Amino acid sequence: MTAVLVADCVSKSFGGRKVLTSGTLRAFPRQLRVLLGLNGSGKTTLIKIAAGWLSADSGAVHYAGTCYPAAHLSKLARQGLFYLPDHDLLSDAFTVRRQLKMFRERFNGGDPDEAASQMGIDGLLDRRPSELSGGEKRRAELAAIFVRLPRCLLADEPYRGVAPKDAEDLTAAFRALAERGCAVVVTGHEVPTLLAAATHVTWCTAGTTHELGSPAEALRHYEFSRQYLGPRAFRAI
Amino acid sequence: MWPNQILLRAYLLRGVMIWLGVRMIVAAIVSLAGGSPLQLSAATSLEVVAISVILGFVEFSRRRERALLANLGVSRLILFWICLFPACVSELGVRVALGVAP
Repeated sequence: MTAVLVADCVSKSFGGRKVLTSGTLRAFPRQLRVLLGLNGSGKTTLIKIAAGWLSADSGAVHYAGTCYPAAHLSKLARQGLFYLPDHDLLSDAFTVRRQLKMFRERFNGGDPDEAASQMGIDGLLDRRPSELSGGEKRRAELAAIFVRLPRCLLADEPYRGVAPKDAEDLTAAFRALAERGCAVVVTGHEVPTLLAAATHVTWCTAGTTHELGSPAEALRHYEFSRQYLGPRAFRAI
Repeated sequence: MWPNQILLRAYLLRGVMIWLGVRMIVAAIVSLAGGSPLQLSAATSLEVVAISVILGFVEFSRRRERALLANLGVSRLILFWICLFPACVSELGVRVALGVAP
């Protein structure tokens, strides 16, 4: 299987602090990959570089067979990439319905009403995002993704501050996207939720990345368990 | 790739409002300095436009709309034009209306 997106050996420093020395992120169609790592390990930086939201000091982003030495999200988005940032995506200047329609018109996407129904926000379409709760906002953003139907989705900490029930629905939505052929990459710290959802685990540590394989293989990984999951989980294993 | 009409209209209107705010502040400062508040020099007019463009970008970031726009395929260059156009046209319009050479 060919990766639709590869952020290849990227490095990034912030004010002399090297966050990434050689990180690689791959996204494959029909896979739900999770990127795990301690706070400050470079997960968000790597996903932002892969999305073209942040420029890398070195390395390149390959998307859909094209190499982008200086990738920009707007350019990649036109080719089917969707970046879900760790903050609110939708604008408070417009209603949710209007924003879903924007994606539909722009990309000849799916039906906004159907997407809203799928995410359980039928009754909230005519509200502005500021009138929604955190979980409802996430659902609305997922509805926008279902309208867009991207080839590749990069979601930065989508489970943060989300109730367990909403988290379950988010997982179901990510799985549904992957089943439709989308390459999904998700970051976060909600280990049980993420490992239950994932088909593949990438570990970001010490400025680089390690492909750990399936969640079961990741849990058997000595250093990952010891350094990331912590002593209790490590003893359990 | 330009944003759709609804977005474009909203952002152009926002650009005009930003320009109006900057224009009023600059006019007040010029007035306090003893100059004519409406008839700004060409250099000051350019500064008004430049400040309006910068504030337009700040507003996109403050409202966290840049990720949404980028996901819609709208590039930073297009955002620059969206910020520049209303400020330029409004400033030019005022200068023409007041009979000041553009």
